[in-house]
Amino acid sequence: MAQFDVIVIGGGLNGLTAAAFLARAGRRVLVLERESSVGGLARQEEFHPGYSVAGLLHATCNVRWDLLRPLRLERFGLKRDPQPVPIALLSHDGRSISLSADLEATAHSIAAVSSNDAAAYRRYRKFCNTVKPWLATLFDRPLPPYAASSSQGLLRLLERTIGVRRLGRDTMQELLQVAPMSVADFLEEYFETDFLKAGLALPAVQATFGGPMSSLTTLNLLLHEVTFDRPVLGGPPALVAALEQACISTGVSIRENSEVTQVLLARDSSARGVALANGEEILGSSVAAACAPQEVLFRLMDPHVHAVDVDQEFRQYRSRGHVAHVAIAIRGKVPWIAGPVTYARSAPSLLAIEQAFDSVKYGAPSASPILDIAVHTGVDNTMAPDGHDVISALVHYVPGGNDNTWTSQDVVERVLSTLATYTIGLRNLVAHVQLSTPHDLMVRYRLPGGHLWHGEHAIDQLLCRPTLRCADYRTPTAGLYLCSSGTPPGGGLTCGPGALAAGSILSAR
Amino acid sequence: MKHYDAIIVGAGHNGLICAAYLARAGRRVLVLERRHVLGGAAVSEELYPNFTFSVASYVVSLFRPHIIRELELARHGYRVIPMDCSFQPLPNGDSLARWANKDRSRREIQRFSRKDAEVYPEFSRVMTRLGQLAKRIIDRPAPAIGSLRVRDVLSSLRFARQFHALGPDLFHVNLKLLTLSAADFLDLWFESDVFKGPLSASGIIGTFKGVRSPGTAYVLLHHYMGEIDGVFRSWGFAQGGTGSVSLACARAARSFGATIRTDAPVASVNVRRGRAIGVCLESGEEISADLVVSNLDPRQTLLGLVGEEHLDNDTARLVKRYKFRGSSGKVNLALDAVPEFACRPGSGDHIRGDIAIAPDVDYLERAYDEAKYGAFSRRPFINAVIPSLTDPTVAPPGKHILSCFVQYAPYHLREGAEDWPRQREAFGNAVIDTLEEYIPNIRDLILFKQVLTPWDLEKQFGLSEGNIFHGELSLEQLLFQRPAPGLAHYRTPVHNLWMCGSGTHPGGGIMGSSGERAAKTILDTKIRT
Repeated sequence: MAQFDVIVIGGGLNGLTAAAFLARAGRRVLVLERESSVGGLARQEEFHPGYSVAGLLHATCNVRWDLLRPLRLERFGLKRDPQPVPIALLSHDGRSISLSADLEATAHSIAAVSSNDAAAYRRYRKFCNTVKPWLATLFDRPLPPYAASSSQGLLRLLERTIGVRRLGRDTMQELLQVAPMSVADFLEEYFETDFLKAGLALPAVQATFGGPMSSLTTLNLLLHEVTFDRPVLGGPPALVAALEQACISTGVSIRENSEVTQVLLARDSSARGVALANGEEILGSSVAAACAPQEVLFRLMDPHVHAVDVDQEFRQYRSRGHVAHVAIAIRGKVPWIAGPVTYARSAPSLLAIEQAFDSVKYGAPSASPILDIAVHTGVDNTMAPDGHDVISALVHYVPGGNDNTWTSQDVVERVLSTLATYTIGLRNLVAHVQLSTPHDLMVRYRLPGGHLWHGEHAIDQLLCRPTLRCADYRTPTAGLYLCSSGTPPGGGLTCGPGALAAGSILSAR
Repeated sequence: MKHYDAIIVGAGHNGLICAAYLARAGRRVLVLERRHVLGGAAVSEELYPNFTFSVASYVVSLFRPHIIRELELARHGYRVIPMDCSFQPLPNGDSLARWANKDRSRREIQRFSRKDAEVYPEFSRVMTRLGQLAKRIIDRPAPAIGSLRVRDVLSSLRFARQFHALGPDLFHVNLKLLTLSAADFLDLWFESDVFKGPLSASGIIGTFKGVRSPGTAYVLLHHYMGEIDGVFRSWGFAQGGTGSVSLACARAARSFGATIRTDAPVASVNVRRGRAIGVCLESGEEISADLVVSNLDPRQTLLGLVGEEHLDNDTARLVKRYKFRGSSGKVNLALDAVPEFACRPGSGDHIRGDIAIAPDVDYLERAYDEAKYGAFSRRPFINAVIPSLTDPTVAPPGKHILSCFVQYAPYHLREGAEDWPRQREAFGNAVIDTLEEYIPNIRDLILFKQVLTPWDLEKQFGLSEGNIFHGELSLEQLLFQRPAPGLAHYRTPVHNLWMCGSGTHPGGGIMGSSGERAAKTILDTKIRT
């Protein structure tokens, strides 16, 4: 007799979201979390006595509110920032542009640098808004490429086709033309200011193994833009807390310090529960894995149980981590040249990002890394001692492997000298630096390849995520589901995969 | 004033094929060529006494067999000598040759990876299957995706069904093929970086992309679409140089009654009330016609011959957006003797096919890295052929031609495109230096050298920005978007002005399809209206 209807492996954002949705539908749900608290990549962590980071991924501007609405997270203390917190795009010469969900404020900020670009930005956002209704849902319900072979797939295909027609002929044509372009080509058509183009481009190239000159990166940019919204007040930890409360209030059991080591199979090869590191076995009618897909298939299961083609598909799933994370404890306030900053991107130009990417292709970290920065203390001042700051940044790029031609210290050095360009006398204030290379992330967070998005965001891997046979949150093992960032609509702090996977699990019964 | 049913501007192979088809259908056709020779970029020229060079385009494979049949090109002198081998010398003194004979290839590949040798036949099988699909797409008009006209919807459905018929697994491979980089796609199959080198190189030919750039994988298909005498996936030399393909097309066109004039540069297309009514030559001569078909690329046609004043804003914007970014050059050498490779000496079969200086994937990617920032590659990818070994008509006995396709040579140099004349010599030297690493005595053999930079390709052949395919073959510029949405299907916004060059679907390579499809579309439309 199963103790639970669904056992969720991993209490990251997607695990919690899936659990909350399942429990809301009356399922008995257990969430098993390996760490001492839930949150996964969005988990608050003390990396130096008194100093914490609010998770490795810090951007909560892409949470899929339309999907989360049924959970009514505001009942559990979740607040969206009334003032959209701007992201400062930093320039070497001390100028900066404040990018936010507020179009007027952003255009105004750009106008101070270039009036042409301010006008272009309005056109740019207008285009993004036009394609939004269609594009935002494109990857929501996975559309297997062989959709036409099932009636359900055919229906979805029809839906999409009608949807794209609704955009109107001109918009549709424009979308078909720009989506396959490189983000560099696309942004060059709009803007003239280098650091504006680069700052806008950065989200398009963070989860994919390519630079801004790589084809198809515009699609990534558009997917980012159409879900770009006001962030969560309090950042990722506040989102985690609200989801956790939502789970608890609907009766989800959450067990921390419980590492799953195996998915148990019944005689008919369907999933019947999990085994924990301490030997305990917990039975459940279904298992939903919120860890990376390869983890489930290859570590929590005996690889031999998979059919050859399933096995091969997963081995072909690309997740080459190339972004590192750095946490820096600062004694005092960060002396930004551009004035106080909470979120910032340090990308001088598209070429600079491309050059940074070049070296990682050959296994070396970028000489001049590009940083995607969050000063967590700007969101929550309890993250550091009074009057002190914490910088948390994603470092573009650091390779997954290390051929012993470089050390973490080299990367730290380069990060600090990049920061030195945008600050005055920062080095003397640094109390502690913690760098997590993709390799560290892989070991520490069980992320295959150290890839923070559970697999590269390339169109083939977005359409069939993670693989052709598992693109609908199901796996060939009955009762075993996937619900991590390695499923549609993909990685980042969106809660989308959890919400959609729950739907898939519920409809299967 | 003379009057024709159709005037074709430019006697490239596509223009000549289009002319032949129109003439065959009974139209009075005039072809006007700017240069003194026919063929455009598919041209043979005696640059040095008794040496016939395929100056620009140098191998034939994708030419559609039904065109050869329908235009009886064989009767007009079209003959292709198949190539048996792809040879890859390596800097460490080793080398790898892939042969038409599968067992022979297998033995070679095994030396680098046993696994790759095993997987290769399966890879070829899958690629050939997908190549067949690609050919069906090429041989039809591009689907008018998004149009709601019944005819277009049906054609779109047919288009979709082709993919659907592949079944889920092949479809998935196809999805990856269309979107991945050549290197990533080959990683799905192979492990040896050496083996992947020249394979991935075929994904970047003529594009301003690297082997690790998404969207380069599908070009690999070109190697599985080639047909010579109905035999799949073979490449070959046109006997007498590539120009003889064009000359055969020209003879066919003339046999159907078309008139071809050389040294007749067209200055503009005469447009009256939104309709093309003829052309005006640089000499001032005016010739009228019911319709004008341009073999030039979309930019030269619409912004050059027609002029922006006759275009609406939207069209002008789309034409300007259309990307060229030529990335390759050509170095043609006349040699005093057979060039011998240190790693595999002699003048055996191994150098009678194509020779790729592409030692591994990283070598190619590094070559691209330099080009991205506006410099030619110091160590470029070179695809070389020695046609004189198999075709004795192109060089005197004992002497040889080494024809090198070189990438990357970005049109847009950091110093600006106009700096190319100053950098031409250095570029040529980089190529010779690279060759010298494999053919130590190459410098002593050189009787004559021609270096063509993208700048030269533009000036000499009218290829905008030196792009050998009349515009990048990137996803957003293919099919119903080639050259741009609303400009596809060989039509232009100017009534009675059509396009038939490589800048239209399916574009690129000596396929003949653009010329053929344009002519057939024109004839179809005529009947309908």
